[in-house]
Amino acid sequence: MAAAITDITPIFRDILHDPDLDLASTTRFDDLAGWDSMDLITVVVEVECRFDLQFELPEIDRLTNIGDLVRMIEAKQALAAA
Amino acid sequence: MGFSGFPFLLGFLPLVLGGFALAGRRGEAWAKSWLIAASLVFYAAGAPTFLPLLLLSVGGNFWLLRRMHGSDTAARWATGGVVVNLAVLGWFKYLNAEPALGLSFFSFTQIGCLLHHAGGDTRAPRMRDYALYAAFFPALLAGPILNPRDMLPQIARTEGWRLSADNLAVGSGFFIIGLLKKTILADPLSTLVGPGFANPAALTFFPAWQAAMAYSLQLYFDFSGYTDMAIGLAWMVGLRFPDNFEQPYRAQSVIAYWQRWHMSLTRFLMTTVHAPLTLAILRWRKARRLPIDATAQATPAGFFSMIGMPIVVTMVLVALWHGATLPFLLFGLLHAGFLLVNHAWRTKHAPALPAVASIALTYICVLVGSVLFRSESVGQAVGLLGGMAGLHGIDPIRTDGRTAAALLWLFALYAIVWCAPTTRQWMLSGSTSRLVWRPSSPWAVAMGCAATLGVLAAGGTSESLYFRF
Repeated sequence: MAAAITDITPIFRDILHDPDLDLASTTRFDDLAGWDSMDLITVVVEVECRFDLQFELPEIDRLTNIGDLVRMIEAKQALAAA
Repeated sequence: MGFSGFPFLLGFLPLVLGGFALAGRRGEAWAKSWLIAASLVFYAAGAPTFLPLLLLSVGGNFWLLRRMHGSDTAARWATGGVVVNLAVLGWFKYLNAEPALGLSFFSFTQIGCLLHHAGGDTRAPRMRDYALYAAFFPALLAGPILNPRDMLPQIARTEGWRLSADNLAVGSGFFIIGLLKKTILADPLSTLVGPGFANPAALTFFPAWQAAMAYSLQLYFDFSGYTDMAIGLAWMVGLRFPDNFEQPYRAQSVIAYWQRWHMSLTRFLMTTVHAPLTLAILRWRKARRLPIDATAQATPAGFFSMIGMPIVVTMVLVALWHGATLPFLLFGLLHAGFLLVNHAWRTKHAPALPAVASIALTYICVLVGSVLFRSESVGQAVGLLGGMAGLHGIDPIRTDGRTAAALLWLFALYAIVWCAPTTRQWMLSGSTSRLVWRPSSPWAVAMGCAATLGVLAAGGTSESLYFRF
């Protein structure tokens, strides 16, 4: 999971204008300074482009922290590779 | 049949709880069936003409859910179901001479369930569970709009369908506080609101402000009181409803206000309208190699397409949900304007105002919106807002006893709005403070007195302001 967090951290830093932002799998989106629902959708679309994936709305609705996002990326990558 | 009326308090509620206690002894199926039967009686007592509509709506949506499970075309079935639900809602809400009681609420609850199952991989609930989810009487007429992800697992459980002392104690607490909010705090305000809005052109500065402030307080205490009662009723039989209010008049921005006012409707529209629209726009821009980052969102074109359009569409739908009238439409557009200013402020990283100034500014925005929300015509709203702006003159505040009592009453209500904890904080904080509720003899006596006061103040058949939506 550590590698994937490294991959998505720049997306969060860019969206939240925080070049020093550090993320952990337990980091909740709502605990990030300045976070709102628009940021989640922006992150998802950036992640979709970065990893060539597509998320469904109910999946996005279930995301609450960084670990959820990383697990969903990994699950979708595994499904695409199968 | 409103929760604060005598038929409910002295007849329906004791009967339902007594029957639930007996049915619970015979098992889960009996307890659920009893609650469904009670819900249908509750609805029939308020709107007998529309009972077939409720039955058809629940039956039709359940059939769709069964059809969708395992189907490759589940999303299409869900879309079709949403369209039919909205068409029925539109017909009875806007075209029928008599609006169907609670239709907006039980339609949205069921649309949420269809969308939740749109992937086709989630098993449909059992018929009895679905009927209880869609038609459970505490949420049937004025919400909260139930989220299937939270509610269906609670309803599907097979254990715990017994009347327990713990559930009864906490549920009664919620219900009694809600009853007091409705009967003691909200209902008496109609003597200030009604005359003020009846002839707004005659109101000078202070009376106009008094009428608007009284209405904003009446709406809050009425609807949040109703929601507390609904949460309490569900709690008594072991079900946990979502919150609908989180101290909205303490919000420091209009964005925060909408996250704290009628939260179940906001959540529903955010997940079914705002988020899909924003997602589609961002994907569309990304596919055309247009930037979607914060810098792009700060440009006029980016702001309009990525932030402005979804907000305006969502707020117009909020307005139309309340009614297809010009004041409601202006209410929605006004709040869309407030939200856009709020987002632009954030996007430009403008400095935040001090907390007190933010709360005051947000509340004034909400107050202006509430004048439109209450008005039956644009002329009525303009008349009252003109009075608030001093266009009808500024008379000195009257010093008679009646005016002084009204001002003191408003002051006391604002003190509650801005200083008191929420019902949930008060009932469930677990604090050791003596001022916080706990299951003890002194609190049982206090709650008994409060319940007596609430029943004595109940106006017989008083209904919630939100029943008309």
